[in-house]
Amino acid sequence: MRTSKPSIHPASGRFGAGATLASAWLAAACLTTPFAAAEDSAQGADFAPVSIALEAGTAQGAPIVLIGSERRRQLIVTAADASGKQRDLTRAVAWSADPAGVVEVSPSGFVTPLGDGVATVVVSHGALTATVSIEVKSFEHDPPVNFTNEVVPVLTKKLCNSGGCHGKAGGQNGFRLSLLGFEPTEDYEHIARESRGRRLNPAAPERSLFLQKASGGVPHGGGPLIAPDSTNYRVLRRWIAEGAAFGDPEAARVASIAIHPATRTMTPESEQQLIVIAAYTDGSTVDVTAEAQYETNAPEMAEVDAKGLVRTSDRAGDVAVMVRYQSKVATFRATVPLGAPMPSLPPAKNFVDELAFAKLMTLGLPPSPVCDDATFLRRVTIDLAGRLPTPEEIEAFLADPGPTKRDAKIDALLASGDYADWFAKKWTAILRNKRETEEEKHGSFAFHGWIRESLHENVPYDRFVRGVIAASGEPEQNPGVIWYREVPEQKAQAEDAAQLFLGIRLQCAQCHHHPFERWSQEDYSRFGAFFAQVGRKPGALPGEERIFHKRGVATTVDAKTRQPVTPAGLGGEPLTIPADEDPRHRLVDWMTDPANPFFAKALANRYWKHFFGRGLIDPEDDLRETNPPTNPELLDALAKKFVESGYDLKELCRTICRSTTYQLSSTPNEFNADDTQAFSRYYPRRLPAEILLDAVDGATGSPSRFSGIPAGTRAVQLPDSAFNSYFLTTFGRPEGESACECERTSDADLSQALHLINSDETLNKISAGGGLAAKLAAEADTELRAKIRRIYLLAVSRPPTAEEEALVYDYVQRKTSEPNYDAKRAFEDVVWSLVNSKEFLFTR
Amino acid sequence: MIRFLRRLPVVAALSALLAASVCAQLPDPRLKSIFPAGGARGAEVEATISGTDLDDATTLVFTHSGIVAAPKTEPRRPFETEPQVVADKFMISIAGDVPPGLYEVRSLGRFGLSTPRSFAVGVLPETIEAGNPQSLETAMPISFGSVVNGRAGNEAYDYFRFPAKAGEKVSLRCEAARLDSPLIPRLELLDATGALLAVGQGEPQADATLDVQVPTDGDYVAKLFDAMYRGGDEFVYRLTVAALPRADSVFPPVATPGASARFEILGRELPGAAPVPGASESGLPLERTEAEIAAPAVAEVPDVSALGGLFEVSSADVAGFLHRIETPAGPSEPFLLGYATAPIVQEIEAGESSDAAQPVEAPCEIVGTLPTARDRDRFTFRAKAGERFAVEALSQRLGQPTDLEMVIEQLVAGPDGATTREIAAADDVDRAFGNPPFDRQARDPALLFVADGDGEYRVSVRDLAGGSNPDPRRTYALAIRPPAPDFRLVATVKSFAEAVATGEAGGATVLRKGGTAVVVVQVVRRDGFDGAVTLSATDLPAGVTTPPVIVGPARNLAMLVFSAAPDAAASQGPIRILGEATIAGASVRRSAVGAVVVREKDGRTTNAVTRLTASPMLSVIADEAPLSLEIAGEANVSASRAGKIWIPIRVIRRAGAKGAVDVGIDGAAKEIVATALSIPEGTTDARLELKLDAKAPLGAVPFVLTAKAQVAYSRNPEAAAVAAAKLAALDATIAKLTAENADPEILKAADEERKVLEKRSQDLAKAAEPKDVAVVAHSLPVTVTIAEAPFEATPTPPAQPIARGSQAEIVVDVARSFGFADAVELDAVIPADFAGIAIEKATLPPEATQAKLVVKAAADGSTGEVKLTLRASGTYDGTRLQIERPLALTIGPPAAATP
Repeated sequence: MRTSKPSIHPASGRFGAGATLASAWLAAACLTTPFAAAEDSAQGADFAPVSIALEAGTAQGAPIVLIGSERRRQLIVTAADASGKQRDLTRAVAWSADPAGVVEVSPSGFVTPLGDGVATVVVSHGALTATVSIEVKSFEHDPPVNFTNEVVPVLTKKLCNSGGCHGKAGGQNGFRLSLLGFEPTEDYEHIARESRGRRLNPAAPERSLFLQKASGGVPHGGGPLIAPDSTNYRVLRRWIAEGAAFGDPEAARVASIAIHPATRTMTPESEQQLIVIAAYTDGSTVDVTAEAQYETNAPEMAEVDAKGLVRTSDRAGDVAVMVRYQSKVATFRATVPLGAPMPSLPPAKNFVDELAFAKLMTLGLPPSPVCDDATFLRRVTIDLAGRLPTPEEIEAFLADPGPTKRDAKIDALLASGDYADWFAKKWTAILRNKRETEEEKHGSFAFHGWIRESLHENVPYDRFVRGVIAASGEPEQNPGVIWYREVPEQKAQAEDAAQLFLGIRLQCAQCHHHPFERWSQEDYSRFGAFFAQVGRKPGALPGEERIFHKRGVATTVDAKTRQPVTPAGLGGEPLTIPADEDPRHRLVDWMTDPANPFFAKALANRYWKHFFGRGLIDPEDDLRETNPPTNPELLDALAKKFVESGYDLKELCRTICRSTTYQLSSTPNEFNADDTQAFSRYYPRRLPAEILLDAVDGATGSPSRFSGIPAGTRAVQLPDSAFNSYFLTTFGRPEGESACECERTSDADLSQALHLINSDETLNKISAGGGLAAKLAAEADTELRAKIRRIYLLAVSRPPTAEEEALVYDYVQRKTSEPNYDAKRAFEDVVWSLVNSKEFLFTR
Repeated sequence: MIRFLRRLPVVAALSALLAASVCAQLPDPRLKSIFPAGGARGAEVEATISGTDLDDATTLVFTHSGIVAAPKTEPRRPFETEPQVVADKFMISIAGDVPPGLYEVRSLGRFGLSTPRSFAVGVLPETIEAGNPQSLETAMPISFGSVVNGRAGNEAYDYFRFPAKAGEKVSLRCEAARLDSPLIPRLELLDATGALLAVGQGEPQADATLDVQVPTDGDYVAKLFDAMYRGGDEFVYRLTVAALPRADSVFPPVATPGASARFEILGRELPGAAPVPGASESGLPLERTEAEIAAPAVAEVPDVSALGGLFEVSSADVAGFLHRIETPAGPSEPFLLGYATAPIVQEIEAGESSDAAQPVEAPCEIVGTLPTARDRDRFTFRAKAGERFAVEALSQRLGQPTDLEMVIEQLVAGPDGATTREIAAADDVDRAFGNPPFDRQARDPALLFVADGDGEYRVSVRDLAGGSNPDPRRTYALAIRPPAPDFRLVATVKSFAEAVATGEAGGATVLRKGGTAVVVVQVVRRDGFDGAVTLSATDLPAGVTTPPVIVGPARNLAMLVFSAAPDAAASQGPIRILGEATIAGASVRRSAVGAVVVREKDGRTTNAVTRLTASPMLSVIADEAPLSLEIAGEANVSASRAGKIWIPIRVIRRAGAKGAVDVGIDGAAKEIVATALSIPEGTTDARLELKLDAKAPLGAVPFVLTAKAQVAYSRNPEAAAVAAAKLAALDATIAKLTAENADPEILKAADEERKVLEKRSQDLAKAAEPKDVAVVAHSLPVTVTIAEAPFEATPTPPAQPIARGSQAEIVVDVARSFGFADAVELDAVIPADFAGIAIEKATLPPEATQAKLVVKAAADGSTGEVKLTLRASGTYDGTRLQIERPLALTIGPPAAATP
């Protein structure tokens, strides 16, 4: 045990900027801004409209007809100023309709019919006016209610069929609905027929249990959801009164939905009303703004209410609003520029910069300057090689005056075995290479070795993926088969393959239509059918298997229809694959086709996240229409480049690392501290567990020893996660339990802090007889300043500042001369302090 | 986590069990490693052996007469009277004309010949791992163009530094599995600073290779380790760093016996070779050359020892020959070519996913390649109805990492063109010998089929284990030919120890005077051969006999028992095990190849590893067998199903045998069960009762009886006596030197030697103290011929046709045997499509031997011959048995109506 506490603290003064960044990093998830003040600021003070347009979401001039008493229509007013900038003035204008008695228009532009006729809706804003004509027909003669098209959307909108309520697998309190109304025939069965139809009373519709529960007439666990005077209530009541028929099963169905506007540049703390138009299979369109559901992907950036009104916060950036109606989804994307004055941008090195800077220009978000050499070297060595730079590398790099030394360093790191070690660590976890028994050791080590070798030799990514997905034979010859050991179920294979290599989370579609996606149960079954013929035979070593293609035409029983279906790529045509052809190869053919919309993009995005800590789409393996990229052009360009390079992983890394965008300083300027998605600066991150442990080993001069593997093996080089280490577990090493990189946690917590501050492991490393402190103390011939420089280079990868050097120099001098103290202990204090500094813990 | 908890205790318990059972047994010499595991031809090598029961090893026995060994000796010191032999160390001389390749070595010592290990002979200069090259800094310097012999250390890397010039092709090759080493090698090539340049992964049954063209002049480092970072004395390897000729694959993989042909050879540094576009291995393209190879006219089984640990037991039925390519650098290592069994036809590559089929004419042997898992090769041939074919693939058994699957279809004309009708499919061939660990599956498919119509048939082959990257070295031969029934024999050497323990170990075959040893012989039946095989052994040492054993038609395994006379002299050497059978009227004779356990299953990371060996070896040692079991009566007996047999036996107890002897059987069908029998101490004679199940196999079933007992065994007391005598002599010398005031340095050395001798003497004396060991003695073979039932029924139908509308009698003679005297019930089964006859059941009373069945033919029934089944059933020893015999009746037209 140590008898004294170290008596100085890390050079926190220098790290002031970093501390701010770290706080930003920590705060990213909890910073939200209330919208109370935003209500009337929609038009902004500096916006001078020169024109206004009254829009209904359909083609300008197209007749607007409301049939029956229950159709509504959302109108919006879009103003433009002299520069062409557009603003939503829907709630800022005065609305009127003439003649009276045809329609009523609310202050938010929501039109409700009152009686047959044609009315002109007029809006005015100062001197500007706009009009639109609306016809109401059959007000007294509503067409019969269609269950699928009209009743189900009400249930969905009111969340009756949500996963937390009647939509969950077992229903709620004896009443079950299909999740999000994806199965209308089942819902009809449950509502109209189950329990001998006790839920409905066509003779006295308002006394129906179904309506009374919904409207609060009888106690309802979910509370009253539908007001008795609302349109929704009237639709349900009328449906019951009409005899609660299912309606024409052949009636037109929703084919797609469209949002108007689809994209918009908004200002901070402004509003945009959306219109959602559903297009039906018969070509008709219906305004479903009131029935659609809305959800934003970045609540800290914008909120959306149930009526489709989007309100931005005070932050700049991109936000998407997912809109869902029936089984269709669409996305509204808003860009909120900060509008800060843009100084001259750092030099653009390649297309990454051109596209990233274009985004910053759009946002008016000035980037931080390019980082200094020491910061770059540390950052790129960590990201590419999974380690800290050595003192010798730092000295050489800093001393090198060459203009291309950064590019050269990137190339050298990519060529090194350390690159293979670090990226093998990344891939080995998401390929779920883990081991629970001694028998599994050979396969796990072989799989890791194969991944490492493939990365080192820069095997094209399409071939690498084929080596996993289409792996056959024994682990020794084709180590990719270990994936089939760790992912033994056909469903899990399909889900993992989709998530890992396509960035598509298919899991939801196993039981029901994907709520945020276009994937149906049939898509799920067909995708899974690629794995239907995976056979297993005993292998040469205990517990090992030979994976092979079991002869037979690949089919899987569709969970919904109970019919066998043949394989199909997602969005691809169904394939009939001969009995003696392995469908897994056809799957890889489809995946790795340059035209595949997911494969290259998913990898480019995954690697972008590796280097920036945040994907262009985040999470990096959740690519879907409703989770759009923050910079689609950049992601497209990266994916295109990746395909054109022949799926060259090192080239992708090189492209990213060479960009100025990657080399920006993490220190925020006065505008970009809040930026977490436009990459206007580098976002600091805590070191991953393995790199951190290796860094502690390096900074203390006491390497960790893992049993079962030669001494000197660094944590980053461990072939799997079965090596016991409290340190690695505490700092979030992934265990290979899933295909998700989220298994690796980069959160900071108290146990981590305590472990570094005063655990036996850390303190023993610092005070070890063969450790750095002991060595420095024993070196009689080395000047103290050189020793201090060495400690700094080892820990924070830069020389100390003059101030730091003086502080530490004085401290060591003073402590060495104190009784009961010595140079070793003084150096231990310095090492301890640095190891516990944020600058050590973070890459920035 | 659940999996972990579930498995852990099982492993622990198993290890404990193995430890307990293995520790107490009679010595059974096993050579576990020889280091170095090879040397250059023309060189003398100092080698160390390790293993179990290798006491007093006096020499090493090699399978090539040009390799000889002598014990290593230290020069005589002043206090010694003669040069001193260093235990377990030998000087091995390799003659300059020994062809490079693998040979086998066994140690010969107090307990006979050991199990074999492979020993390599090379052409390059060799060194032995020295220093402690476990870090980059301490890498051992070696020269380019040399072989280093090393042993992997546990949780350690080995580093070797060598110079190379820019642009030079460097091949690293680590041999391990072929040397019987458990090492699964991993190779890395580093530059002088330790930066990784290239990686080479090995395979459990193959070498690790790494071929690169080095970028610059300078030092390079080979880094070598085990795939699981294991290590130890047994983890021997040979690392070659050179640009040496190497043949990776030969195409075609088979040759026509007695013919000369051109072969394509893929490999490295071959004379006149050119790079193969697109085919790369570790970054460098493979090279291709051609060579004229003349195949010998006849060869039964290749000299398998030359392939070492790479030749699996599942390859035992491959007929072929070994060939070496002559290069300016000397002959290459040998590779195996199979014998074609039909005219060779070459596959025309149609593209990996093509459905096109290549027409061939049967009989033929198609030679082709399946470079990737996606490749499918299809061939069509014409056949006539009733034509019989054997279709057999040869690939994995020649050492390819393939796992072929084969499908045979008939092409059927349909309205939309030809469709296919699947006839048969084959994957792995499981011969199910029931003799683990020797009954490994062959991954090459084979099947027999009879064309059921004139027309076109299609054979498709594909590789279930193929990788995604094209590899032209994955070759196959596919024979489509008339069946040629034949057999091969594999002698799997079992030891006493194995019988005591798990039944899975295989050691040396060691005979003690008056004792027996068992060799299990597997009959590998080919092309549907199902005849009986008579096994015998020749070339036996004096005093050793082996009664022949017949392996019945439906069986493929028998135990051959070698018995040493009580006065047999110690000797050792190869023996020949022969099998004779009559095939298509001709007598066919085959001799057995041997199979040995290279390594036993460790329960965790390795299964038992077996391989073929040159020939079975036998030793007779000077010790007496402590226990023998004799059949005190007839060894060939008959019995009926459901019956019992009593075999009179006698146990012979010799030195140390004590307590009761438990008697049982081994090698019989599971339907033959021995009643537990324990012969108490002091008693020698008894009868062993065997019960036959109602489903016991019919015909001759050979097996042996076993006797198990505890023996107070004194291990190698002679060695203890010799050591004690040496110690006494040294004491006398020391006393003399002291008295003579000899040089204190000499006295000091003598004292130190005394300590060593004293320790050894004590250890040997302790080992020689009698300890209880479990001993199993085998009897000579017993053959029981099993009948279907203790009765036989012979029906005699009426001599004349039975007229419709009349009745007649069938006379059934019943022969009784095995003392069966009970009633027999008789009836007949009439085919459903023959109308109008009825036969009443009849019961034959006890003791009676003839009964009559009455046949009634209705007036309006069928006429003509009808084939019936006569059934006779009776109860024997409480078990109901039934036999069925054919019976034909003729029903004639109604008798002419009497006017």
